[in-house]
Amino acid sequence: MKTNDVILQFTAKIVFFMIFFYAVHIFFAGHYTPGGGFVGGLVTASAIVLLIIAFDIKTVQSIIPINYIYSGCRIDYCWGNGSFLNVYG
Amino acid sequence: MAKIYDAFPAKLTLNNLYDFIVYEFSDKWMNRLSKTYMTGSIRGYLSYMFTGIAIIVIGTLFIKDGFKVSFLGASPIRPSQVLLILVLVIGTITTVFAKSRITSIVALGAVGYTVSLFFVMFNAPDLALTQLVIETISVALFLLAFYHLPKFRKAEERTRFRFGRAFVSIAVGVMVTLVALSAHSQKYIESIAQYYKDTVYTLAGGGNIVNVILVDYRGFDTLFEITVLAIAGMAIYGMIKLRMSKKGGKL
Repeated sequence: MKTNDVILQFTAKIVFFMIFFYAVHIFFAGHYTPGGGFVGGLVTASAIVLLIIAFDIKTVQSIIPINYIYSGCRIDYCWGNGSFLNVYG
Repeated sequence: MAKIYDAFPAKLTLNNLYDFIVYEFSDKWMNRLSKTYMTGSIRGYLSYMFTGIAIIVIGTLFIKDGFKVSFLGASPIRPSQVLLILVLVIGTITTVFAKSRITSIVALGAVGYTVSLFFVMFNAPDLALTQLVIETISVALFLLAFYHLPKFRKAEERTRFRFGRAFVSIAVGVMVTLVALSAHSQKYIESIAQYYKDTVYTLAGGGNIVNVILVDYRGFDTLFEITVLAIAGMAIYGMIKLRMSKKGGKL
């Protein structure tokens, strides 16, 4: 799917950072207020999905050059374990 | 020695029995038996599983006399909730019976957002947040995948009513409803919620009771849940990798 929507692309470039830092905020706020790692990770994923909708997968891969599926598993596991051991333990 | 061979004919040896078990019994007969239910149709497998679960759970509920309905302590139903339930039911019906995929996707999103509104009403901001984000992502992903899906086939548009499938779906619905009602009404032992409320700060040192239960009181539960999730992720990765290498593409 190739799109060339100027408004969507311009907005996505800015909104991506808002969503991403909101995700970080939610992730750390989970200790005392609603939020937590699960929602934080989901919001991060939604930011990347927004980029994929605005651009295409090749552009997103050049912006964030990671192997999404593989590192997704690793980050999920390591972060999960890390938060289990450090943040609350 | 030869007397033994004379006494027993060649057909009655253990060797022959072994051959019979391996080649005739397990290879031919059991294969034929397996083929009667292993049809390769996912719909068939799901209906076996759902029927089994429904029979086991409903049966246990009535044999153990666990079914009980009491609305003691239930909060009153407000008009706004009736409205939400109506939206929920209409959305679900639309999702199932919609003629085009895009209508189905939008109706599914409407159902999800309504559920998250319910969570807001029942004072569960954690769940509401999660449900909102999940619904947004899943609708966006469905719309992304929407381009690559083929059109609805005619046969799918007009399926005739089948008693067996209706029975399975109604049984599963009845099972979930009965279990939910009984879980609310049956109080054999006191709820553990009060213990969590009392000790959440002194024992675990966190303010958000949901997350504290997840990572502190039930830390190992969550740890192995993440392990299951990681295994599932690896399986998906492997499947995609396999398909890519068949095509000769790179991931």
